[in-house]
Amino acid sequence: MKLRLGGVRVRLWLATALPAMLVIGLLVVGFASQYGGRMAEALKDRGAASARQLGSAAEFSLFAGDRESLARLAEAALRSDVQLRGVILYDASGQVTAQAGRMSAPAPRLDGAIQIVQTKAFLVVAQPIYAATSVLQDDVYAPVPDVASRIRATESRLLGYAVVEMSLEALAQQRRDLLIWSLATAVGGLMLAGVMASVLADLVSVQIGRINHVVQRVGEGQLDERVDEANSGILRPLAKGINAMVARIATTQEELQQQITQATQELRDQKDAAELAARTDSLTGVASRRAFSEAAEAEMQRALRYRSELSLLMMDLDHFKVVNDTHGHVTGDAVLVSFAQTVQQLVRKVDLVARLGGEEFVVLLPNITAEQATALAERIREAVYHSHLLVEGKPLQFSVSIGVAQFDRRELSLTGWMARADAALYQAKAQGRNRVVLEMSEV
Amino acid sequence: MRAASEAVWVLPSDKSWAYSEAVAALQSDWPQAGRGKALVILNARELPTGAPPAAVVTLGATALRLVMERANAQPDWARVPVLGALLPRDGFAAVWKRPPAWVSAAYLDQPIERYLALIRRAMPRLTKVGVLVHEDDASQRQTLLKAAQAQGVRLVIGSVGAPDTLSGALRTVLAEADVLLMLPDGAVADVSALQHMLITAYRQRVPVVSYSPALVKAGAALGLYASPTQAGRQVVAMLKGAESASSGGSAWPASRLADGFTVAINEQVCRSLGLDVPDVSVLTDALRREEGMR
Repeated sequence: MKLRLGGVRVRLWLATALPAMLVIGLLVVGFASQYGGRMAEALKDRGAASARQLGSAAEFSLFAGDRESLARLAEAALRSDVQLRGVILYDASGQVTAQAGRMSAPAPRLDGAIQIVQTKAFLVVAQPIYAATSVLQDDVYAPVPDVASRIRATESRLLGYAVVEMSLEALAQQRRDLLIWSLATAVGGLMLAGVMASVLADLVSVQIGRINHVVQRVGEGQLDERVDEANSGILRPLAKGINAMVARIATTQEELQQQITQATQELRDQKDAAELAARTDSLTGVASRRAFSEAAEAEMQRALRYRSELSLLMMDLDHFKVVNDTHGHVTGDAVLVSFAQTVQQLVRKVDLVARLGGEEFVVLLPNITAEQATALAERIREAVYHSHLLVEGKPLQFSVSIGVAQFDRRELSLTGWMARADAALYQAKAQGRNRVVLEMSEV
Repeated sequence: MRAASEAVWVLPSDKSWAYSEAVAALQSDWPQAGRGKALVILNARELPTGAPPAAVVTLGATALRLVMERANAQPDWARVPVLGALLPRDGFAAVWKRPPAWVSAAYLDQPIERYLALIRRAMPRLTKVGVLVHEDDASQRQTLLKAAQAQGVRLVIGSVGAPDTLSGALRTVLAEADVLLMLPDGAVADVSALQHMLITAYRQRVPVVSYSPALVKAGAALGLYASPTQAGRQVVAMLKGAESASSGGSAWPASRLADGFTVAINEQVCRSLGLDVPDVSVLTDALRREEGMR
């Protein structure tokens, strides 16, 4: 399956950049609202402070009713703060005694308490001005003078009001500046976060792409493919894991291959052994009847093709039943083995000695005429007759009867050929055993 | 223009409104006292170098000083009679330390009795009057005590020495006094200390009675002073008795305190301090009647 790396990248980018965007956004909103509120508070404090200051400065002049000095104070207060738009001093009865600048706000309520009125465009602070009396500092040990007797004033001690109006344009401008600054910071931060997230996403997606490629190749059977761990960056553990996994798969497959090869070899060996066993007589070590049949068929074909001579000796140990009965099967087997060895010693390498069963043997003789075969048979008969096998310390004499038959090209049948040899053997048996008879009949 | 010896020169120190007002009063009253002598208004800084006049009236301290310098420099000026006006007593003394008999003044200063009478009339319940006196000025102290006795008020006198003793003396006086009387005395308080005195008294809620309209405007409850017109009229009245400028100093009037007076009230201050002060005209009439009876 082809991995969609673009999707991975977008998701990675979102996962990295979104939290940053959220945090920056929240910070900007929080900062702007809190700082804006503080600026408004600070301005309010400033207005109140201006009014208070003006009030205390104007206290005596209000008491004295000195309008000139009040006008000077109002002008000075107006000049002291660029955000002050207007200043008015009222006397206790609410009459204007001095004014500087221009007031756009309606006159505030003058009720003896401090008034702070804020609208979108202006901030108005009305500060009542009370007469202050001081206690004589030199007379700290003297009794405190009776206030009622000292203060002869019967009216309220209120002298008047200082009213200041502050323009909020500067505040609004500051707020706008703050917002713009915050937005610029946020956008900058977001762009940085975006770029970094993109870089990170690229980095990860490229690594994933490489690993994906290797995994695909391994899936296609290329078990020698490996991920470049050194260049895998943050995905190095994954690359390592995948490499280890692929290595493990490769090893397992090799082991399996080896086991299969071994098993196959063992089967082949067993088959070979079985075949060998089928082609050899287990007792005497000469060829089996089956091996003989195959070899005889092959030699018959060759004799036909090359017009060569081919002869066959059919041999049967005389009175073998008696030996078995007299001396037991072990001795019988030993006789068979001894006989086979004797025959083997007398024939050529190309000749094939086989045991057909019981005490019956056969010898296939390529390129041998009937006469030559008969002579060989005679030598075998003689050698057998003169071989002495020691049984329980006493020599045991045994003999063999041999029928000789030459391959006839017109016949084309092993059975027939062997039947002819068998007939010659029968004749030899009939003629008193321990003799060789050449089959002479016409096919 | 007549001969200089037949004329009386009036020398204002400068062209301010007060001198102009005084000159106007002089000119309007002159016919009843001039005895044919001409009244010549001259700039004090441009005194003619020729023959001296029959007599000189100076308005303000500068004019008096210039005339004194001329008298010292020119022998024919040495015995010209001089009447200084529109200046306080210590201002006159500062210019002309030992004036001869033909040099005298119409002081702006009001008599102490008049101040005390004003206080008694305007604020009958306030009987303890605080006043600051220079510690070396025994005569002033005596004058004050005498006047207090005559008016039946109690004085709380604070002694002022060096300038830095003013605050302490002021606090001591304010602690006890019901009303503070500020007198024109440069030795006690210079101009820069006046505002301080007003504010200190205000903090203690003690009303101030002062000697000038400026102080009334600046925060004193009452003021008692001679207006320039009143000063000008006093000059004419004093010269009425002088027979002739050339006949010597026997008939030349002696220095006198202010005859005329004006009462000023700062209504705002009085209201703030809860003082129920009678109307200016009522007070003025009362003071005049009182002085007429004496």
